[in-house]
Amino acid sequence: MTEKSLLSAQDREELTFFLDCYGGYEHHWPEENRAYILGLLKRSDEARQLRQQAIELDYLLDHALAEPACDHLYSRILAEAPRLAVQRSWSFKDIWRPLSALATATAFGLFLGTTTPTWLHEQDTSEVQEAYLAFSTTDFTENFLEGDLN
Amino acid sequence: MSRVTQGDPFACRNLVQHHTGPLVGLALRMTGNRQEAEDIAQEAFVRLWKQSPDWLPQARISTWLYRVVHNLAIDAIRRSKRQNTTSDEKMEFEDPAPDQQQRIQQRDLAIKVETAISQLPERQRTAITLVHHRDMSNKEAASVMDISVDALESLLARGRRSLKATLEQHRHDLLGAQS
Repeated sequence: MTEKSLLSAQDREELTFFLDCYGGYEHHWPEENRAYILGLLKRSDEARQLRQQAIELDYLLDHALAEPACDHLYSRILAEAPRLAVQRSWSFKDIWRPLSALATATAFGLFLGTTTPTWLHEQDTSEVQEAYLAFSTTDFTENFLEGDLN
Repeated sequence: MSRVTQGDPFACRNLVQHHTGPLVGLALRMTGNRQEAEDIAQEAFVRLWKQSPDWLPQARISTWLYRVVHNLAIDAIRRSKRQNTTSDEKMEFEDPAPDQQQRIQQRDLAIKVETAISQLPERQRTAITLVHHRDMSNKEAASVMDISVDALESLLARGRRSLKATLEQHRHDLLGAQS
């Protein structure tokens, strides 16, 4: 390894700590440090060697279990998911109240119309007729003075 | 998230399929108990469903879920007073290797690595899981664990150094097994 390819003590310390934290995979590196690390790797064999060691550990970590199979859990979890779609997508949600009020009023009217006793409205009619006949046959002129009628 | 709030079944299913495995993985690594890990992941989703009507648009679902799982796992650990795990519970993974011998080698490698990880202190395990296996940024992982980035880096560095030392004796075998 040439002298030029060796890192300064400070760069070595910083790179070693950085690789200890984040490993050798570039996509794990924080954005703010990436340019600095790539600069070191570009100019130093020692930096590349340190990175290679970090990648070996990364590779081993990749073999650890990360995501166990959980297909059997999906239905359990989804059973408790929000179920608002049907209610929210109902297109008559704005008019169901006035429609139901109108239907109730109509039904009540029909009920009254079909269940009211016949004698009730016959009596009403005869009373009106009698009052009309009495009124039309009465001579009101006797109740007024002759001069008042003129 | 707005589609989840509206009860869109496809959005809910997509969310569950995308996050359940990684969440169970984190909880499993923290608690070492498969059944408990599944319960924790399920509880995290239940809380998400409840939270969904009040969800803030700027909040990130994955970070929120991981934080809930992390906190629930911490509670579970405290309850059970158990930090170490048996490796049998952890070695359930689908190995795509077509060859039987290769599959055995892969499984052996996974068991050794997972055992080494399980021997780390819980916070170091969690930090490595979030950053390495979940590809979280340092800020996001620190947020999930409710610690500073400096504290997270300290956990990561100590954890990786311990793993490096533990796995060093197996290094050639392990790296040779994958070829």
